[in-house]
Amino acid sequence: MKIHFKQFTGGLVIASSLFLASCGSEGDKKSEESLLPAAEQPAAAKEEVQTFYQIPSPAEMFEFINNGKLKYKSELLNSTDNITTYADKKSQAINFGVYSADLAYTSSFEKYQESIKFFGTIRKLSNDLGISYAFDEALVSRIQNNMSNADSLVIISSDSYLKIIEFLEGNEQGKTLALIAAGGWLESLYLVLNLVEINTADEKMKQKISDQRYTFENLNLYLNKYASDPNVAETLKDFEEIKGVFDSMAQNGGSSMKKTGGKRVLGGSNTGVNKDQLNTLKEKVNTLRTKFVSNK
Amino acid sequence: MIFPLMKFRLLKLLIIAVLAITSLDAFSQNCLQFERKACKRSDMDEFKFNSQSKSGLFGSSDKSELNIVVYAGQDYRISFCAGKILGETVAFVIKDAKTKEVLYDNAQEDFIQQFEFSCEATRRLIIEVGIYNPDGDGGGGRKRFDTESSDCLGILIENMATPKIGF
Repeated sequence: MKIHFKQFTGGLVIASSLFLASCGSEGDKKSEESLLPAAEQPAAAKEEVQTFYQIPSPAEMFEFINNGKLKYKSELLNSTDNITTYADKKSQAINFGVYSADLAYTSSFEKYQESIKFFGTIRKLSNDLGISYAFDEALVSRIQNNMSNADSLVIISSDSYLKIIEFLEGNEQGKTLALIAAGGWLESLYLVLNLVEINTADEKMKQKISDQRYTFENLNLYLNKYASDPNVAETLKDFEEIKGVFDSMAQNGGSSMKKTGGKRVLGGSNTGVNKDQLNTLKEKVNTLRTKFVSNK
Repeated sequence: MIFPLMKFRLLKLLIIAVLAITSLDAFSQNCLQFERKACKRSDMDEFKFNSQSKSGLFGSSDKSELNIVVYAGQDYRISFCAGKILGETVAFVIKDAKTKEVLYDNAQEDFIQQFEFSCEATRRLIIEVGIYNPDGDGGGGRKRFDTESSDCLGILIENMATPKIGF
């Protein structure tokens, strides 16, 4: 049997607000092998193993990087008016991810009205994508009744996002989920890169941004699983320049798991990153993000 | 006139019963959010549900790998749970995704079902899971990834900012 983490067809809905998180999906033995450097190639497979790639949600990414240091800039967000230009499935899925990340951002800054607006836009896009039942009346009612409660809004948004993820996985719509994940991850990184002053950022912040290479690796592997789909193949091509920037960064060393004072600690070396690399990354991310939201 | 009415009611009851059984079956087969229902959550309120958690149906000799990303400055708690048909004990190994080096194997600690660690360096990890079968013969007197039937298996991931120690 090879079902493992593949959800049953009765599965359900996706969504979390905030992002694209866990975009697992059907396992695949070959995709990772073809992408990884030789050192990462597994030895000859002795048993059938399914592999899944998870992507932290935008909310989790913001939480990791923010630490109270990021500011709120509404001008960075994708205008909800742009929804009228998203007529094809690729732009709808990618911008579903973009708006999900924007919702995660506005929710985390307790911007209630903006959050409601993004939620409404995501709901409209979910209709176009055929995943609208993630947003049933009960969920909408919960949101309306908690407009003044930031924690509840964040939780409800996250719940709805997870519902959508689960729905897509359960219905074997991995390719749609891959596009949503791509849009959400890109928007999250776009926001961070445009909220941080790279040239004066401390080493810790620079490291956190370059750490996104790990999430990108999972995203890239995940997209590759669905590379036979034309929209996904095109999206992989879209991300090539960003991949090139991450590839140019020095690779970190291995990991260690040690017990210190009764607590296990995962450690490992970081090779650092310079501001030129981050500025190049910002340029590539901004270019691709403009392409995605303008749908040109 | 009474007979047809009774017949209709009986038919109605039968349809309801069939629908109920079908729904029950579908529910029992669905592993959706199994990790949230079956895996033991941390007693610490600070630990929050992480979206990389996952559940799925496992069958005979199945083994899966879940690639996750863990961020520096966070504490993670990973809990495992399986349905009764599978025997409820999950065997897992945690590896560095890049080097494939084994960082932890729960066989070393009597197959504990929760694993907690502080993360000081952001990394991609592979969580390799299967079902522990103590009656197997796959080496060392055990065959760790084996079962004849299928049931749900869940991996619940929770995280929180690593608490600061000292003043």
